[in-house]
Amino acid sequence: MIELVQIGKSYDGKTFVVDDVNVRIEKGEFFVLVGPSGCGKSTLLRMIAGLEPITSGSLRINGKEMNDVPPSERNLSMVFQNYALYPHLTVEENITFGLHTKKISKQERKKRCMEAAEMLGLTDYLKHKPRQLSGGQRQRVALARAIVAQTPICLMDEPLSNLDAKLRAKMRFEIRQLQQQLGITMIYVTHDQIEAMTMADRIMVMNGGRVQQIGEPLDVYNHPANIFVASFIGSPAMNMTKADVLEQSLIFNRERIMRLAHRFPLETKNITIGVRPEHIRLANKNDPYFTVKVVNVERLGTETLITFALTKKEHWIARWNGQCSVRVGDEVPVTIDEQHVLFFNEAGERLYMGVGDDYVSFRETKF
Amino acid sequence: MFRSVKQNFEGMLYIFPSFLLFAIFVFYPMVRTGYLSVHMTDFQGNPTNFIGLEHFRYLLEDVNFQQSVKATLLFVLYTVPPTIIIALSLALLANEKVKGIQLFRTLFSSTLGMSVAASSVIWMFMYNPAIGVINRIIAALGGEERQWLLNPDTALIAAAVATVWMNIGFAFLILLGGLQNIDSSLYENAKIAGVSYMYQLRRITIPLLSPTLFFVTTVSLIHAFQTFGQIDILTKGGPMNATTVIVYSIYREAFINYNFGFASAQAVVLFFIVLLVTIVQFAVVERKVHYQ
Repeated sequence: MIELVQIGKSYDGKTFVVDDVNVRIEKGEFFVLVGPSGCGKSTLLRMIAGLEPITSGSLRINGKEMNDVPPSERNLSMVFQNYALYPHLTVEENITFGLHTKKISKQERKKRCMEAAEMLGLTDYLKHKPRQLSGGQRQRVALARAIVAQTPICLMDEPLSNLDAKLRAKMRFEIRQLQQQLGITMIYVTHDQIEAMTMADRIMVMNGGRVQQIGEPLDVYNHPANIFVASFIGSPAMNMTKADVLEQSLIFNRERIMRLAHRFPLETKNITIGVRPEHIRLANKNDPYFTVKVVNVERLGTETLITFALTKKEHWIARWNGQCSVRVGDEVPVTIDEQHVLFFNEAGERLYMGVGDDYVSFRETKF
Repeated sequence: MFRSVKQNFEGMLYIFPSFLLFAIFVFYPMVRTGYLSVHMTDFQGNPTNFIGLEHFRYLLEDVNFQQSVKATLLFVLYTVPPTIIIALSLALLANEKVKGIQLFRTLFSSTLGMSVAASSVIWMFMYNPAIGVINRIIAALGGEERQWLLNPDTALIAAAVATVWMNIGFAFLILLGGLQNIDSSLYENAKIAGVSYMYQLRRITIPLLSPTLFFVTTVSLIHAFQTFGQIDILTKGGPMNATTVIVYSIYREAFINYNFGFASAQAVVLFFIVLLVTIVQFAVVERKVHYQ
């Protein structure tokens, strides 16, 4: 169990690149830190590893304070983004690097190396040098090295970012399987929200050095805590638009009006609404609907992405299953269930409204 | 066909300026040296009559030349390994992330900016038996004062110490550059694995630095074989020829004794010694170098 209590990191003593991080990572959990580049996720991981000193707060592993414990005594392994393989050593020497310090006998080292190599399909390459291997194989060597140490905690810093898309999908699955098989606690850093969604037991979304939200992937997807999380998680991104509040109605760019079943508190003047592309659907006969003009159509085979103009300035994307026959320039009637509409205040935080099976009705308006 | 001739001509045009410089300052002197080495010459260095390998035969038996070869080899031994070891140690120190390390990096590499002549003069004063700081320090520590540059036993070592000091700047800078090129995540991984500093040095730093070390060693070797300036200023080849290295011997033969043919023969021998050492370097040592 790893506990982070008010962890902060500052290089100059004034600005914090990581600020007030509080989280408890359970034993055997696959925990993903996700966020855009420069959000502090790698720094946080390096603080857990002991490669960066912790400026403030406390890091506990199994209840023991670890702030000043050297990396080697934290009983963890780490996989680096560039794999950190030693170019002059063979695959076998790379995998067993440093094992001698843990007082493991030569036979045991050899045995562990063979096991890990077998698990990752590296048996034929043990005598090769890293430069003779493909990107995917190098990645596996780095994984094997993390495995042979048999540490209860494994840290990974964007391990898949140097691989092509197809291999990445395969390795996602393999790493997840490996983690479950070995029962290790995994802390995994990525900027790729798909990796976060598919691999994690829980994810922590970070931005600007601060934690935005911690939760199970679907929970974060369905109930984002703020605009940042809502727009960062999900692809294509959630449609977001600023709107003026007028009693029970929302007005978009003075072009469209949306009637709600709920009233906002009186002081609310401006809000942002967010709708996931899959929640915008073609209107059935009796649904309230609004017509939109299609600007672009992308057919991906299993689904179709339809870009339409919500207002003159803003485009939204709808995601429909199958291969729709909508064409650019068509006017189509669409509808959104109000339960799927998210509201955010001006500060970007989520506004929670009583949600029932209400609907939203859009209509064109002229002022 | 026409096009390729034109392209060839264009290519040659680009090479021409540097070829011209090389031709004037390298190729012609080389050929001329070889030519002179098989001739007798007059006082102005003009060849008078062809004598074949007579100079070389004489060189083999010449006690003075043997002494200068010995002095050169000793000088190389006294300068190259210490330079590399000290520069590597300094580079390892200066590669640590400490506040103000930039100052030390500048200091350690500063001898690179000093000419051989200027540094030789500084060392000449330091070695001075009467006013030199070295004797004063030794006296203050209760040791025995010495005439460093006038004693045949210490002169070569004294010149070597000064040379090591002069060469450290260059070797330090190149080695530091090599160290900074090593990926920091390799050390981070070692940190997590918990291996000792010496193990890191032996297993990561030295192998990954080997291309740089090889380069510095080769250049230093060649450089050491060609030492002249500091010998000319500090000892003038003395005392009792103890510091007459080959290049100084060539200089003396050519410009003091005006025996250009004989000097050229020595130059040719030096060329082949350096060539041989460099070939051995590449054939034997380079095999242990790990290129990435």
